[in-house]
Amino acid sequence: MTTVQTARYSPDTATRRGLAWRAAIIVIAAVSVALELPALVRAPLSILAVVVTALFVFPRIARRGPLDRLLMIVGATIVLLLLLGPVLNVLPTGLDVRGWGIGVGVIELAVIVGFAFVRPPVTAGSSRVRRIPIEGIAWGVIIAVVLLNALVISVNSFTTTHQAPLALAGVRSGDSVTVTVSSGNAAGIYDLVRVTSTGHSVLASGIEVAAGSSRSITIKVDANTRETIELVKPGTLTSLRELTIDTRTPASGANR
Amino acid sequence: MSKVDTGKPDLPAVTPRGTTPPAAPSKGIRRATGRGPLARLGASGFSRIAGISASLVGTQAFTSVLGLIFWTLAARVFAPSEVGVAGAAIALMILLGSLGSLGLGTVLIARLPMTSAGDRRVLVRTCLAAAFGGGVALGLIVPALAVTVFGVTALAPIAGSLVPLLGFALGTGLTSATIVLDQAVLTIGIGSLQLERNVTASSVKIIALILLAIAGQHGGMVIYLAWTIGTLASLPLVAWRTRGGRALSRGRALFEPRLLRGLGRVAVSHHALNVTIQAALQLLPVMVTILISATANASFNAAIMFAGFVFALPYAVSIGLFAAARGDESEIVKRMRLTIPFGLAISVAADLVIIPLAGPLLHIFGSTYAAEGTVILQLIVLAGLPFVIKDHFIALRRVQGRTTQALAMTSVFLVLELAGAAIGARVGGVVGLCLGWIAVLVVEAIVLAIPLIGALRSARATPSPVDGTSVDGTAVDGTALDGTSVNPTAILVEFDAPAEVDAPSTKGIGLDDNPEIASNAEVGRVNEVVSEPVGMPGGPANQRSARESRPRSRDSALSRWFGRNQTGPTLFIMALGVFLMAAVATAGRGGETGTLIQVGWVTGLIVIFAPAVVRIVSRATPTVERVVVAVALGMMLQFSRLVLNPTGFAFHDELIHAETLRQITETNHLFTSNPLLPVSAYYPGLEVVTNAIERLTGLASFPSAAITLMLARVVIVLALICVIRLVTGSYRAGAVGVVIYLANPQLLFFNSQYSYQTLALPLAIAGVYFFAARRRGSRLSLILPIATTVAVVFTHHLTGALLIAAFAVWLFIVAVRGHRVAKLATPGSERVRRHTAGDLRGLVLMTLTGALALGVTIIIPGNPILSYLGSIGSSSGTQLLDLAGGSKPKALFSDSAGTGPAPWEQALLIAAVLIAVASLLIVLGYLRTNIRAGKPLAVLLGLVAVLYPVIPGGHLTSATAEVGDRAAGFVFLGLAVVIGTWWWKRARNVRSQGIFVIGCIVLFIGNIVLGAGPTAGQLPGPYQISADARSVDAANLAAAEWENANLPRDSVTYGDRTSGMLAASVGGQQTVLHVSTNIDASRLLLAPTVTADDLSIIDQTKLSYLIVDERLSTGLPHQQFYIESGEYGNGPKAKVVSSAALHKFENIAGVDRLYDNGSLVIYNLEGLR
Repeated sequence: MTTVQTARYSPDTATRRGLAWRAAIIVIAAVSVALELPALVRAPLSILAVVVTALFVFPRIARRGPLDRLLMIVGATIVLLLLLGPVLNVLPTGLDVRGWGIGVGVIELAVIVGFAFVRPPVTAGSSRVRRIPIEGIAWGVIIAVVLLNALVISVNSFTTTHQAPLALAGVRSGDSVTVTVSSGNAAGIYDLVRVTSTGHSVLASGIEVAAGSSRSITIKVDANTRETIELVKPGTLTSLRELTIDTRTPASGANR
Repeated sequence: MSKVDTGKPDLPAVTPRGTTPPAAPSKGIRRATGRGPLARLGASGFSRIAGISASLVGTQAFTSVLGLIFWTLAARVFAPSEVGVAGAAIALMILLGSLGSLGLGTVLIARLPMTSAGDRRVLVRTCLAAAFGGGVALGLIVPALAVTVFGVTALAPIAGSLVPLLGFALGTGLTSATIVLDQAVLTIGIGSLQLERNVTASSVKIIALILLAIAGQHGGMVIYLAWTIGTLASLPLVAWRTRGGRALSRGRALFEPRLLRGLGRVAVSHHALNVTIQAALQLLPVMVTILISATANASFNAAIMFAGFVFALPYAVSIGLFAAARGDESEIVKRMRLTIPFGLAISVAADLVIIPLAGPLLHIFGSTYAAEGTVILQLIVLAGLPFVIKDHFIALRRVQGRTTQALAMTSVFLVLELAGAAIGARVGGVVGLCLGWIAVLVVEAIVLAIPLIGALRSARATPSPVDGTSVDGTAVDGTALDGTSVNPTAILVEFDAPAEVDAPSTKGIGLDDNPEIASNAEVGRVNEVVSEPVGMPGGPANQRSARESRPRSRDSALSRWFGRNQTGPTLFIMALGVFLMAAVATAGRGGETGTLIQVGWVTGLIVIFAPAVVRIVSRATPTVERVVVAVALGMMLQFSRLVLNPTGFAFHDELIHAETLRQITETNHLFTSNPLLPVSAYYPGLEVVTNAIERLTGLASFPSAAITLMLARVVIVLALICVIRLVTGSYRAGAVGVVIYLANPQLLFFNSQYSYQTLALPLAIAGVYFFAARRRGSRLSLILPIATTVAVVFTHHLTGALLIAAFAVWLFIVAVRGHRVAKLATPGSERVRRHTAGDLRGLVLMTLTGALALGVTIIIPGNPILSYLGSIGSSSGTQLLDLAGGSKPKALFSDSAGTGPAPWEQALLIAAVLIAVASLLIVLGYLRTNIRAGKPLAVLLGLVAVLYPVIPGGHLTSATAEVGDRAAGFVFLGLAVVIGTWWWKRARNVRSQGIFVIGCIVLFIGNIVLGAGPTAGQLPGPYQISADARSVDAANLAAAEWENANLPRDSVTYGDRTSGMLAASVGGQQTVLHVSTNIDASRLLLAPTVTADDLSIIDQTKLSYLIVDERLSTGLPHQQFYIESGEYGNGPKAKVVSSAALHKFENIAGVDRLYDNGSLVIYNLEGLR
């Protein structure tokens, strides 16, 4: 394949047509980003916009082998994104979705317009029928399936083994506390017991917590007191989890 | 020179063992005539072999008897532990002395006859001085390293203090010198002088030992001193006996190093083989001393000494065989049919004598020696049988000119022998060591017997061509030792060989545009080499061609298969490796972290790595496949990190950058405050790209980060291939370079993490390439390199600074080159001058732009870069000064919790370091070639490679460990270029390809252990304290997610190393760290009681929440600190934090305990403010 370039090339009709539909894709992608469409829509469009820009530019990069051009395109893409960041940063909107959508769209348009004035290469034997690399595609699919499976089993096992443990949490709000029992994988039935200086009392019994769910109750706390809320199995006194709500002021408390 | 304690004493004519022998003595050999069995033996030339062998053994016997007397005296007068120390010291001295002699003795044997009389004395003096220097250097460095770095206390008597160390070094230097001297005197026609010197040395050392004992001196090093005195005293004798030629060298300098030029490669080849042959027997006593005890070595040493008489017999037969064959392979093969059975018979006979007499023989040394050494001697003498096979194999390979192959085999088996001995020592003491060693020797003999049998069969089928090399004074690889050769290609210095250029691709960098390649063209060195190198007529290459021209139908089918595009199957197998790792990680998460799982993990890595290396290294592989596989290898290795932590960030540095990313995502602005590492927020290039992908695609942060890392990996691989191609003209060299780079210690662990260097490094390499490959003469072509440089600076401070420094060094090299070129007036030099001027201008611009960009980042308000780098520098400097002052280095093989790599991992790690250190020899050759060729970029990359010792050396202190590790990503760039270039410069046969593949795998796995720690720690598994990803478990994540959902945003929190980081990056809180607040709040977790200091800290920091991981009291942290450097308690943890300390806020008035998930508890401390 040879590359022939002249400095004063004007895009021909085919190139202009190609420019047009590429620009359309770029604009659609930019709009989808700016509108914050769901990832299922946004992602393929954004990737498509990048790909069409790259494929337009690829053969027009002068004096490079294919590997060099690929490096240039990938490298330049990263560099452009990287340098666009500080530019967006000075804008009031900053690095928000719209800024990125418009900024990347503008750059992509500028790139294809700029390279449209570079004469495309004349490929010897371009009229030759290209074979579809079926074997290559088949291997690619198989490899992708294997890798995808590897990822899926990893994610599944990670999710399974990283279930949140049984937890007891309390959020104070004024003179009340919202106590939440949550569990990732340990389903069960529990009692909540309040322990004060005067004794035990059951706050709630038979709290059923399913795996991956939580149950909350709100309790009132007295001023200038210290009370412990324990999560226990029904019929036992062994504390599984504990919270402490201490409304005493530090000066009056039994400090260590 | 006598080595009484070795099993294979040097033969007087060929010191040390295994060097090329001189012409076989013809005296006393009577050619048998007649028709009987003896006549047939005589007709076969066996009598000649027997004569040579007898001569060698007989001469050795006398000095061996003196040695026996010496050791008997030592055993009778000194304690067994002292004799053991002396035995180990002397064995080590002999080994290091052999190494230090640098093969110069062999050089002299060949060179002296061709040297003028006037030059001879100068040459000998120069060689002696060089050998002495080499020996002294090794004698200083090796034991000092062993004792101070590796903690081998058993060698403390040798190197524990200065005087013994200096004495040891002196003795080693003298040993090196006398090894060279003994070979020199053979050549100058005073053959008996070697024997005289040895006898003198042996006699004097006996006298010295007696005198020292009478003077009341004790200790192993006193015995060593006596030995050294003997060696020293023998030198005046040589000087006196050779006084006759002094007049010829009057007026000459004492030493002339130029006389040694050009001999390095050939000397090293033989020398290396000689050393590997004898190394095991010299190292075994040292191993016994280290692994068992010095006392045990006393008996072992004595047993080895007697066994040496047994080993000398087959060795002498093999030398006699070699000498008698006079370089004729067919002669050796013909005689092997007799000498092998004869050698085996002699060994069996000797064993039958020694085994029953082992006890009485050892009684000479004393009853203790007899009691403890009898079984050892009985076992060791059995090694004589496999030695017969081994010695014959080496003799055959020498005469075939395949010393390199012999070296490879002996090296591998040396390692296995030592490993077998070590394992045996662990299991069963000295007896176990002997059994382990012999077991490996037996296997070795079986393996080495195969080529012997093959040679015998081939000799029956096809006669081999003769290369006509002579035994006398010439090396046996077909190369004369003085550099003149019947096979010039064999002696070409590696990088003087023509560069290989791929199939024409003028679409690649035009020759006109690349001064690197242009300069090659200037000197006419650019050639196309497609396959095997052309052999020279009459040389060993012809022999190889002859072998290769034998039946090819089998080879052709294999070659055809190899030559087809196998990209699909190769990538498929690599993907299976990723799948295996995912399966193993799954098991690890389930709590299975045993040996099988670890093996599975390493297997997965090898299944990814090995097929790629095989295809890349193979010459038959199509270039397209090679490049695709190289890129895929990088990506697969990156993907393997994803299956390890598939849903979120887990490592320390990742959490830091995740926090910056979170802040950018939430605030839409850069340069916010990152409490985990404030400086990182000012270099947000990585996070900017991730944020861009996040916004453009709508994906979450983690998947966007994974895509960013994958793109970075693609860039670095492509950039590497392109840079190497620029330097060498070969995509294939580039692919090999990628393999080397991907084996660097930091690639799989640190440079795969979501950290700023991970993106900065690929961009830096790409920036170098974009500059070097730009179109000259066009200013626009500088835009991309400049933009890339600015992007690098914006991404990572240090990488940016190093890139600027690289441009500056490059500028200097170009300026120097330009100065040299300016003086030339050759055709084409004008074009080079123009290129140079353009490069100078461009590099000035690159350097200034980069510096300006870096300056801009420094002056951004709030950027703490200067203090950050300053603190790293000062802590590294302080620890280095402490180390120089004698403080103990950091434990090499364990972390702060006492866990460390398994022995097999340690072995791999050391092997990887040794391989990399050995490659520095290639680097030096590369630098020399490219400095001469005036290739600035190549020189720059070579200089980077030379910095390799920083990586292992950094592990001497904890502060420099990280600095050294981080350097790997840069240094291996240079190594990748050098090794890729070196590999592709010459034709490599299948065997060498196999060895290279194995070396790469060892380098890869060993470096992973160096960079990522033990395999057990790399795997997912149960929670570990302060252990990076192993601490990011369900409990920690759950607590962080609760904080994110329930606590006010950016509340000030404090926690341990992991929970604190998760609180920021996942929980959305502001974690207090000393690095960002200059406040040490660690006593909140670690101090035993609540005091006014704690309340003061709470007030100062406006702390709201304290996160306590109750598991901290169950053990020590794995990453040195529970929280951060300088925490309460000072320095690395030696004590486990108490449960009371962790629960001290339980009963404090005003403190709420808000969260409890069974492992983590969160307290609200606002009531105390």
